[in-house]
Amino acid sequence: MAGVDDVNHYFRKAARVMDLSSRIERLLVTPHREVKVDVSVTLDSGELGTFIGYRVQHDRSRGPMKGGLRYHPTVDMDEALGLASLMTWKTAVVNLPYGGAKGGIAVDPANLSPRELERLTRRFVQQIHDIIGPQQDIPAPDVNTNAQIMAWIMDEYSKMHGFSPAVVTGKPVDLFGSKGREEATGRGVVWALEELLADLGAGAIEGKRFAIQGFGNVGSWAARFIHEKKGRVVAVSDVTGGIRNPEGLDIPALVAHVAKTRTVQGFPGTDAIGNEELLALDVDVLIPAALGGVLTAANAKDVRARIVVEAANGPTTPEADEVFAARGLPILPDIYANAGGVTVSYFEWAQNIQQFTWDEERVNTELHRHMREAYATIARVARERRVPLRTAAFIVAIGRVGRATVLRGV
Amino acid sequence: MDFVDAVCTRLCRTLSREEAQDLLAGTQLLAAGPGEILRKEGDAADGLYFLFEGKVAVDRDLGDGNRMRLAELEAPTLLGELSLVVGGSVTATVRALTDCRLRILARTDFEHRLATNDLVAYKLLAAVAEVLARRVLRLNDTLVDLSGRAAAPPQDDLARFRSKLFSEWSF
Repeated sequence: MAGVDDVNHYFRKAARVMDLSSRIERLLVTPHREVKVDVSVTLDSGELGTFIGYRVQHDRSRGPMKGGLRYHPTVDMDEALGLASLMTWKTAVVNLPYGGAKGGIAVDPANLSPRELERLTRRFVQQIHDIIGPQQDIPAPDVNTNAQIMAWIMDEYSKMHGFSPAVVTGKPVDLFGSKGREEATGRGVVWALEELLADLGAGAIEGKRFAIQGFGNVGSWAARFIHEKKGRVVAVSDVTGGIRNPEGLDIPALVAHVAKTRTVQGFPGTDAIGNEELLALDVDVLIPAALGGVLTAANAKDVRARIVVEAANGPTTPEADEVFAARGLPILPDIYANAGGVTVSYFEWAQNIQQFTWDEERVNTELHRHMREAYATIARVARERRVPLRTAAFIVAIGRVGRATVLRGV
Repeated sequence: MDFVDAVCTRLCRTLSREEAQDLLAGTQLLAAGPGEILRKEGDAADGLYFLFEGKVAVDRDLGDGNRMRLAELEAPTLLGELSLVVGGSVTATVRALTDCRLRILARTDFEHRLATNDLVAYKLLAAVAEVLARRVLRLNDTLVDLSGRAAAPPQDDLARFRSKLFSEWSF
């Protein structure tokens, strides 16, 4: 998977700037534990289905591990390891007291009934309950998993270990989930951008033109907040295609349109555009918020945006990254820009442990503080060491993980 | 590779494109093939070399036909920065390992810019100072290691890592 190799590429780039020995690099990259389990369940038909479940726990020097569970046919140990290490670096960049983990089950949930999905999930918990836990490893939703699945995990785990809402995050708000979680990543993206704009002396979001690839959770919430701040979202795309309106899209109306029709297509007052065209639009800010690897050596030179904000994971390939660096185009790296989600997951976990609920204002205030402080640190390292923001972010991550590792001893 | 870009984004980031262009306008182009000697140890130092393409080896003559490889450098990089600052002769022989393309800023040109308070020359000097400072830091570490008297044994990966994280860097 391209994204996994890219994480190691950027890790090594930062490690070189820090002049780390290859043995230290290996220490940091080697995971704590990799677990593969049999998840066999009786299907509704009576047939036995056997699936393989995975959990890779990468690093826990800075605290219990955090990371999502995905249900997808391509899940395997390699993919989980790359994503687990990404979680280690991401939580370190925004200074959450966590390490990184990731996992899932190799299955296509579209082929399962809700009852089968529940049995599968509960069976998986029975198989890994001794390596996860509120102070050990805290899963969360990811591709094809959601709040309902988190609720089943919490329930099954609590049967064995007592009442433990903090064993997973991303739970329904009615079952110990946190307020503000749904829009958290989109909110974090917009606050991250404001920090960059202030640092560049480039003014506010108001009046600037935006193109957003992807109108799912992250893309649509980012669009809403940009619209609220009087930014002009001139183009948006989803898996069915894209739309453009140079005057700026009426985002609240578009959200309602998508809720009804399940697509951005056909929104009144817009022209249709393709995804490649959207990436090359002449805008102030380009926000890839869908798939990885969309900005490549082939199309990097066509990007006319003045700033790229990585709301998706791994949207920029290393070749494209070099092209942008040579041009001096600022990129807000994914490990910082989209960390709003995991940050509010941390707040959910903290509320569960305190057994005290925060109001939405407190959640947002704390999120804003985390995004602001993280930017200040990354920007300072970038300036002092004359490196791009992404390298600086990895340097900060390596530094924090490294400090915790050496203090605890090896 | 765009030479102007290489200068203002990699070699001396405080220079603007215009300043980098101005600087390069006063330089001379030099091309060399593998094995060719670009600077010979002992020759009069003639200026600052900008290596834009290719790879070079930097060797010190140990006498008796022996030489010690100090470094292998890849473009983009500066060469001759030491003699630019302290003057005198070339301190180590620079030999092309592959096809190379360079531009040379003549010493007299550089000194004239300094004398006329040209900001570009001073910015370049600051970038050179940083390169040299880092080299001194590394050499100091090597010196301590070689003396065999270091408190921590040189192979202690964790101790070195720790000292790097807590004294060289802040997060």
